[in-house]
Amino acid sequence: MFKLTLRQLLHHPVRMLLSMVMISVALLLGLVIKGLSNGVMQEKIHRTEGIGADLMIQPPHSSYILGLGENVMPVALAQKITEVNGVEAATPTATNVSFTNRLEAIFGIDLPSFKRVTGGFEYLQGGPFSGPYTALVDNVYTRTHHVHLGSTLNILDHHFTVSGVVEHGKGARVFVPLKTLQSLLAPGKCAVIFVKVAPGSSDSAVVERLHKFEGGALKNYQITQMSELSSLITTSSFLGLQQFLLVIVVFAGVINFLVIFLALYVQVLGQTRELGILRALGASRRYMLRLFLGEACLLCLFGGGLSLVLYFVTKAIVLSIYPALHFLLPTSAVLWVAVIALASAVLGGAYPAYRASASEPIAALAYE
Amino acid sequence: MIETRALSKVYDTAPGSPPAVDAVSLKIPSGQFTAIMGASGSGKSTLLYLIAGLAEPTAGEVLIDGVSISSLGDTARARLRNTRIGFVFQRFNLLGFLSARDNIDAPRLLGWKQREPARSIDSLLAAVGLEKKRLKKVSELSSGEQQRVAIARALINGPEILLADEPTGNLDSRNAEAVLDLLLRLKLDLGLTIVMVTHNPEVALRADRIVQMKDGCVERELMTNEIELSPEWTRRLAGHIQG
Repeated sequence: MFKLTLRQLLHHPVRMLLSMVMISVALLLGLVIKGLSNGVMQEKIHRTEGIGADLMIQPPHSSYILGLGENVMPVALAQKITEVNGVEAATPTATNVSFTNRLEAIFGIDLPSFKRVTGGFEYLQGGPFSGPYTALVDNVYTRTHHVHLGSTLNILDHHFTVSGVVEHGKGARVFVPLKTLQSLLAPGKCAVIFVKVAPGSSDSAVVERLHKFEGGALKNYQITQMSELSSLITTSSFLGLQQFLLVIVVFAGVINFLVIFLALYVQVLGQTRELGILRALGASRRYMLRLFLGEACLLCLFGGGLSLVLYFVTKAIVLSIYPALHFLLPTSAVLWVAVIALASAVLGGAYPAYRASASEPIAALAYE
Repeated sequence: MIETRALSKVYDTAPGSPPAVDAVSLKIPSGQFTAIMGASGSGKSTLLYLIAGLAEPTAGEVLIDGVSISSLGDTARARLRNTRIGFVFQRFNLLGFLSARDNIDAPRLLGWKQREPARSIDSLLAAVGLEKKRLKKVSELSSGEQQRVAIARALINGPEILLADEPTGNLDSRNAEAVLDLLLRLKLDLGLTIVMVTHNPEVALRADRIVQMKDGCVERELMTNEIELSPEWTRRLAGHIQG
């Protein structure tokens, strides 16, 4: 049967190719959005983990996506936290999101304590802040924003001069002095405190102690172990993203259903006589049903395969234009593509297959 | 043995519509070559389709070796068509998207019979004289060649019965003669029961028996070896040929 199905498909190569391309484009839409959102999310996790801290303290109900939190915690808290048994170092960090050109998180850091927690920056060019309105940028930022040592950045309507270029992977791509960012946003406040746990102490034990710290002053605060971050940041962390992905998946399924339905229905109408011949040669109704559903599944399988190829082509093109973006396609997404493709093949092929199987041989053979 | 019992078929179900086949009762013994003759609309092709199980009778039944095919379900009837009956159409009815070789192989692709080694297709191609054109698309073959492919396709599953609906109708006289010779050789070599519809008396005379139909009914039957013994039949047949 497979041979006959394949021959039938190959007999109309243009129709087959068009159907495949339409199916693949519908699936590609879902793949690219899933790959991109997942890639960006994973990169954020990777960058946050790359800070090198063991714990992260945030105000209650804060987002795990750094930069989205509000600067409401007193900076003095960081100093007090260092007194907790098992805490080696703590560094307060103010955050802000810049909407200039593209969404970018900016960290306001206190360099000495930041170094104690994270191990410090690896400077590729220049050096630490040389004044209140100087900034450090990572090497990805220099590449994507075409800035270099000495360039001027506009942050919160103030000009900052790039004093150093650092290796990427320390939470943000742009860093400015903590005090300067606080003066522009919320004096004396920060959005997150990164904590380094002393060697030999367990993270969970320190978290417990922090919750009890000063009679439970931090009990409502959000204390996150960095080792758990990847499981905490999901698509649901981005407001509406999960729903958006669902809509795309549904659209991809509907488009596939329509493409398959149209392609096979046209074929059933156009090949009435051939269907009659097959019936006359001994094809049962069940065989005809299987033949057409098989054809629908093959079309979707090829379309699904093509969508994966097109995904990698799209990824290469997008990354050549926006190198800071990240794509990561989880295996589950590929499986979903297969499920959507097969489900739409079965649903879209069902009626045409039924029409083909219901054809009376004598009527079909008389068809001109 | 093929048997029809009071077999009728009405296409138009409106009251008063004439039946295409009207209470036809026939017995065709195994190994016999029967020609069904008649003018256009006499019901000869419908009778053939009913015997093949390609159409549902309105009344009566078709029995093959004593088993009523009307009582069989769609799957069993499809299996019967595939494994025990070969069908040759006037308009060849080949699958245009397949080569000559794959057209011959098509009945086996339907999965009812275990696939045999490829040489059986090749030997069939050789038997119909098309071994050099086996990979050609059927649309690239002449009418005579296409009909020979159709005959080879009808034989691929080793049927006991070969039904042919005007197999020479679309062929020139030379190709028609070749196809007819092939059918006779198959009857002799394989012992096939052949039922052939034709409107051509010269073709019909090559069969063992002629069944003449008119208005859906069997008008008369005769054995062709008796024709010379019956001046009346010879005169009637000659009149038919001239008419």
